[in-house]
Amino acid sequence: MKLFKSPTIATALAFGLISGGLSADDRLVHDGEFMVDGKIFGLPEARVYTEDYSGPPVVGDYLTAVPHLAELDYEGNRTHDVRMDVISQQIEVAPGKSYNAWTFGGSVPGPTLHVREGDRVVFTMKNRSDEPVVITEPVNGGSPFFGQVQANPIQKNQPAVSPMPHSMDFHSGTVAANDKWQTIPPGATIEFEWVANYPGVYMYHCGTPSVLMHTAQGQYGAVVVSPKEGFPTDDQVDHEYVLVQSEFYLTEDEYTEGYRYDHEAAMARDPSQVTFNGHVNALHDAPLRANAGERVRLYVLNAGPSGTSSFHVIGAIFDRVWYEGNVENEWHGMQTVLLGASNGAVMDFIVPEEGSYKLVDHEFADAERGAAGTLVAGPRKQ
Amino acid sequence: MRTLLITLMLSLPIAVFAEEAGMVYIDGGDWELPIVREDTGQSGRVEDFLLDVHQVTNAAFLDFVRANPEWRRDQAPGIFRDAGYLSHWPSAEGLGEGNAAPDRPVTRVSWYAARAYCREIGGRLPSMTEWEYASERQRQALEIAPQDYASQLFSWYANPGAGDLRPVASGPADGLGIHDLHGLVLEWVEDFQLILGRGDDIDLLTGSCGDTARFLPEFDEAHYATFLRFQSRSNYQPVTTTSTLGFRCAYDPE
Amino acid sequence: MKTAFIALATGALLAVSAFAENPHAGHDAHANHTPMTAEAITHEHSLFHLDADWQTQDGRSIRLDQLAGKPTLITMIYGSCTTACPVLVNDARRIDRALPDAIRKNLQVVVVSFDPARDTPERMADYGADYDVDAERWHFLHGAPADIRTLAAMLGVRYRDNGDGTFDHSNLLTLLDPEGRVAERSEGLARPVDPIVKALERLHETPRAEAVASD
Repeated sequence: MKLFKSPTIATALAFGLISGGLSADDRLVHDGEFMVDGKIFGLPEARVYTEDYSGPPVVGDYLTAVPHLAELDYEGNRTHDVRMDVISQQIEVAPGKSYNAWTFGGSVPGPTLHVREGDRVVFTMKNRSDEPVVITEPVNGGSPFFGQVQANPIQKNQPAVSPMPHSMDFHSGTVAANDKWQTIPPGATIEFEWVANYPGVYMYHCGTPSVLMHTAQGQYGAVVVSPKEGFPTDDQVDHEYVLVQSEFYLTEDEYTEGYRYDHEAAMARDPSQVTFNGHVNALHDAPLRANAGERVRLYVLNAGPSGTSSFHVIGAIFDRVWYEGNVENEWHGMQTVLLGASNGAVMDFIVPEEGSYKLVDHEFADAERGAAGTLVAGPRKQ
Repeated sequence: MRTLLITLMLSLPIAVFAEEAGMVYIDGGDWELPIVREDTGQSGRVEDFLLDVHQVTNAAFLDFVRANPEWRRDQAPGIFRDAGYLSHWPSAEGLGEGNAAPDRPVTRVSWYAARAYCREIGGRLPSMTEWEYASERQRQALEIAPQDYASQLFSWYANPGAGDLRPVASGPADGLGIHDLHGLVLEWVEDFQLILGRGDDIDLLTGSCGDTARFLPEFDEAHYATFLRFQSRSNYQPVTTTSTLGFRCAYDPE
Repeated sequence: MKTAFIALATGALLAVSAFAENPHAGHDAHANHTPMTAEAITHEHSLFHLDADWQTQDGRSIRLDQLAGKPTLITMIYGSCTTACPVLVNDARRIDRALPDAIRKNLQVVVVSFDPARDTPERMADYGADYDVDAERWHFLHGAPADIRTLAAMLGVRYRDNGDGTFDHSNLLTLLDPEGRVAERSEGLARPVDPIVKALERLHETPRAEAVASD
């Protein structure tokens, strides 16, 4: 029964206005929800419907373009009303190399969502792959994501039309995938909820077969779920950045100008580009910035779709690493952090001195294909 | 009109007449779908059928809408089509430029509307098996190498040219004499939602992450390209309308 | 409560005995038809738009819009099905029997066959007789293949002809309100009758004047 037991959004939103100090029972919003170990399960069934919506394809205050991360400017838990529509978009991933990407929100990777452990997300997604959607013009409402993309339009985002069925799979959600992550055709909208039961740096992606093609086409991004009590070094962190590593498998298209997905290369795990934040120059043209002696925190996700990342900062050692972004998984003094496809981590390091620091996938075949970036450090502030 | 032609056909050599009527006569045969649908591996039988030479055009669909105003975009019941139904036409009974031009394939039509059209002219939608059989026979007739077939399909998936569709039957009709089976717009079939039914626990309606391998007899690009067509089709809803989805009709021989 | 338990037990017994009679049972798991998950229904429109003629078990012609004005419970089966279908029809009967008289007398039950070649109106009459139900309110329908597929699409029922006399299909009971819109669905076999019974009670309490005509 998908249609008639729709989640009562009004209730959920009203709930979101109340912050902090909630008893366990107050956190259960819908009939059928239950708690195990303080975590909420048994969420209402997804609702698939059609709507007349042509507004901003990304809506939510806590959604940002990489490498930005939204600040959690509220206490305790809240409910987030989040929209990320599927749109097709021509994307450049290396100079002169553009292809028609399938995206969440118009960039690759898609927007980064930041929430707190225990928060609830009411997620809406319309499959607008059949509609040219412009994200590089000023957008009314929506999310900070657009301003950030427009300030640094390195992918030269252009609207495209490439109708396909799509779905959304949040690794940060604990739900029945056949319901919440179900595929919807062009023109349809899906709405479902999930609760951020575990802290972490998570991947989201389209799970529609062929999942290799859908992810390689650009349908992924990061969700950061910050731990309820924070990380031990939170008050010492000077800069926070989000990095998403991913592979592209492109070949020249024989039939149109430009590039297209190369399935044979994708199956052979032979990428044409491996990037941080979706362009071989993303972190060179707009390097990360810090000063000597500052503590920099990176939220790193390896989106794959098929490769690993041996993440390393040349000239630095990770002072603390929380593997998968869970505060319980604390490592110290790491030179390199190995991330399988869809693994994430929170990595703190102290900038040693003024200079330039390369961030690389220390699997050098990947670094040579573009998995590299720069952090430019200024002098020590007195 | 076509019903009449089919009836008349009995008195003439079938192939000749079918072509003049805008259809191709396709000999049936034993055949298996290019995806693994059954554990048994039994081959299926395709009976002889006729198939439209080209996709239904805006002009032809406009004639249908005029004769059947209950299928106008402002009158068709919502249960039979989504909000995008014929939305690219300038008006409910008016064609225009580009994708709304008379010679372009009609798109933004629901499965219900496509079936109503075919029924009206004495035909029906081809079954999924018939359509795929025609596709494979066409490939054989044209001797298209699997790699070329795959490249063309992957190119179309990524860049379907939906903003500026070609007129139907732009090139010569070679092979079986069928135009645009691939590379223009995808086509509705009668049983579009029937694939991937392989049992209780594993049938997630449309397949899921990592399900591809179970349905592919070979892991080459051509089979993947074909699978994506099955996958996309089975994810549509009967009311779905998009800019890359049209149809052509099939007919039973008399 | 006791009634519900007995009804459930009856359903289970029927399922067990039907299974034992299945000549394919035990040979090949695939010979048993397998349930296909029903499609989500994303519309709130009336099914009475379906322009099709059906034949009842007593040979009368009927259209869906003739069911307007009263709620209708509808399901799709095929007559030679010995596993799921008898349970599904029994589920409809369990719902029918769980209703107060005032509600039951208004309920129409429609059982549509996927298999028009074998399930002639005569055969559907025999089929219906086995269930000992009120033939005035229960309609076992035979229709054209294209109309069967249209109805299935409108209900979200998926099915396919396996070519050997069996069909794979969704196991779905759908309650239509008096205007023909989907009011409640129950997917699966031998499910609790409550959701549909409660929906029927709600429909019974809703004054007809408040019901909005659907488009």
